[in-house]
Amino acid sequence: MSAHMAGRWALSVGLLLLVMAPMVTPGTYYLFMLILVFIYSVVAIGLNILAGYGGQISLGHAALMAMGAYTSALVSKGLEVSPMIVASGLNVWIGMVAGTIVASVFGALLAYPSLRVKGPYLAMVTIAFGWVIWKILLEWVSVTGGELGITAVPKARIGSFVLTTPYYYYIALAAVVMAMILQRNLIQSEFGRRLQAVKYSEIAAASVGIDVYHEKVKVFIISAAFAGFGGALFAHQQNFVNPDSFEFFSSIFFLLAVLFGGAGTLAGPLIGVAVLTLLPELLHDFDRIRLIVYGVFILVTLYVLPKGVAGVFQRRPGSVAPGFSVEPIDKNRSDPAPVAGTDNPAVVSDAQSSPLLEVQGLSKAFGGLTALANFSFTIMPGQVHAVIGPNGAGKTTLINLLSGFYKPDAGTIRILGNPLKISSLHAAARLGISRTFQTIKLFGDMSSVENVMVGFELHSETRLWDSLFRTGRGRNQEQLRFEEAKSLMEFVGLGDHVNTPANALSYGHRRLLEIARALAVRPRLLFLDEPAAGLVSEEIDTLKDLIASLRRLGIGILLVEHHMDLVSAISDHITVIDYGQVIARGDPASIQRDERVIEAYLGTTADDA
Amino acid sequence: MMLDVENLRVGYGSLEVIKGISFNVREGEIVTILGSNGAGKSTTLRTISGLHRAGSGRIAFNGEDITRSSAARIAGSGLCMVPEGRQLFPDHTVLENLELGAFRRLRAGQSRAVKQDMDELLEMFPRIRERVNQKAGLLSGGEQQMVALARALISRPKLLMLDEPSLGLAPILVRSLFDTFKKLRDSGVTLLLVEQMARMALSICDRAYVLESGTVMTSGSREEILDHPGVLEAYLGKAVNA
Repeated sequence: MSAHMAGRWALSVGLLLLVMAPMVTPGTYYLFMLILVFIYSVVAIGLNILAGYGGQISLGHAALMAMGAYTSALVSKGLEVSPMIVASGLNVWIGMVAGTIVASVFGALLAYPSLRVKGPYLAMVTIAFGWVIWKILLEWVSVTGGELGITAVPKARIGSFVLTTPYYYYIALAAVVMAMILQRNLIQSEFGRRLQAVKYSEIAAASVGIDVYHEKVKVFIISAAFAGFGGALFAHQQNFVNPDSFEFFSSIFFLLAVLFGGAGTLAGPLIGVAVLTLLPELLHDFDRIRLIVYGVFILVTLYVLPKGVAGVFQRRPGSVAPGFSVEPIDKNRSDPAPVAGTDNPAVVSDAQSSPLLEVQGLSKAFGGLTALANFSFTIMPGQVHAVIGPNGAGKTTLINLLSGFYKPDAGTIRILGNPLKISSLHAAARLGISRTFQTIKLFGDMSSVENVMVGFELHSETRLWDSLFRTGRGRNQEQLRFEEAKSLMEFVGLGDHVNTPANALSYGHRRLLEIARALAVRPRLLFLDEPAAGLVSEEIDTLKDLIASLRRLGIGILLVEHHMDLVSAISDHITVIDYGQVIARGDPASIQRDERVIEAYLGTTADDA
Repeated sequence: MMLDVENLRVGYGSLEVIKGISFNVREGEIVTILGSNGAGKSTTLRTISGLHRAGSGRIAFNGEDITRSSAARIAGSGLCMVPEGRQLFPDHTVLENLELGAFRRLRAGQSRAVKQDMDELLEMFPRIRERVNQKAGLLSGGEQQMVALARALISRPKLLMLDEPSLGLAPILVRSLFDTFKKLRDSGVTLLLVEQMARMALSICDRAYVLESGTVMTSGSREEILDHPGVLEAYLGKAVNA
């Protein structure tokens, strides 16, 4: 039996036991505890999506949960004035929906300003938010009831049938199962890939056109919705709400549960919440040293299992990414289908005679240091333009200027005759500019094919809706993207590494993977920053062929490279710069004879080419 | 024998990358490891320097078993590695980065000798001399590579392991770099070199090992490897014009 099947079995058996629990448990105490576990898990799952998968730490989730709880309590109580609604029992359900929505809105209000900062700063902002909400709950007595809170929150009902603890148990169970499914759907979709891509490298994510800031805001709102829904469930279980339940410590509890269970794993939040909620109950015998035992237990577990409990069962490198049917790779297939597709802007643009890229008088200085001075050049469609020069001459600065990472001090950049204003990092990709990085920036331990799939960002028609509910359209799109990404990988010669985690690839292969990802953007213009570094000569030959076929497709290529074999074999035009100034331009043959180039760059002896 | 690796096996999770390799480096030699990407060259160096755990096998440095030693201890015993991909302290100046490399020697009171070495190194890399007071993170990629090398050299290692030292360097610098390696060898430093520019590496080494899929495919003296038809084909490129 495979690990996957074993997992399914364990899941089914566990679910069956939970479904049967109310029938076999004496009294309601244990059910009560389990309901709490389910409700907290909904909140923790939301936090796991944000923190575990998205890498954004929030220490204000208890406050978001409070928004859901208070809103639902107030709305459902307020609706009690209408006898019709009360008779149907709808007031509670409406309250829950309202609670979820209000928490999301507050999530958005919190996210828009605070996600401009990151890391510890974001955590600080969320702590402050938590304090403010908690204080408001305490002080705004006329609405929130102050310290005493809101009492007589209505119980959930269907018609006149009151859902007492054993029945509410099933509501909570259904809620947590739903939350688990939504979490899985989100994570194993395009949305989840983007989310993790942003976590691993914001720069690389932006380079394929992902709007990093909005992506972070979006996930924060989703996470807040989970917290609000959990809060609403909580209000109607407890039948009263007061600020005590939503103190700062509760926010820490949720983050701890996620870390303990395994941040960035699907089962992690559930395991974490279950252990951290039930353990104190089981430790009753220890009486006074109970909390010490509890603390030490958590400490030791996190020390022994740094990836949390669920981290032990994580999929191993080399295993198949979930959700894709992977058949053996057909080695004979090498046509660059995805690049040559009809919707490829590079092929569509028939303006063979007008330049793709025109740069005039481009200048950039850092402090007093001129990195690039008055630089001009053009790239025609299907042309390879190489820029070479000694280390520190300004080559990478040029690429950074053209792809929107730096703002030029002076000069104009035109693409297809239109002046280019690159307002943000991700805007360049939308204009058909794609690049690779000199210091490789891939998305950590995501599989290689997933790395490439992130590159399709701009060409995706999948909506968040499709991801959340796994619509047929969404699934078709996924399979299509997977096939496309796979053929791009075959195109760059990585066909055997489709499921290898990106960080397990060797250095040279990581470079090729970056090229595949850059091609997924379907660029008109491709900037390659030292693509041959770390490749052996056989692989450089492959790279040569690769660039040649990209050129045939009409893509304009800017090549920064030290490997002169490659540069002279593939370039139409070479510009040599030193100290930010152009010292020579021309075709490969004339450049290799140029005295200044030999002196500054190639070296005088030619015994090693 | 300065470095002796016996039947080394290394893996990542369930994936075995190094499948039982043996090789050695004698004092005063330049030994190079060739092989295509994914053959296990970097993993071998990382394992020797203690950054990755060996699955089984034995690594001895100057007769002492270092298979299970910590990275800091191994570096302290004079076995120094220049990692692929620079890894400088970006917020420190170039000079501070170099001084950190000389940390053990400065503590041992060799500041005069360190200063002399520093001058020699800056002589070798004039581009760094111009930027000695800049933050290392602001340097271009190739300049950072030079600083990483200089930082390793200034610690006066007994055995220096270099992972792709030519990465990102202009051709003119690659040449002077390899000349430097020869000079270093003549001054008593032993070198273990992983390099994708195989022709360059073979022009200065004494012996070479060729790795393929985690095993030693062939090994021998520089001349033997240069005469080996398979190696020429795979790692030196067909258009041989040297």
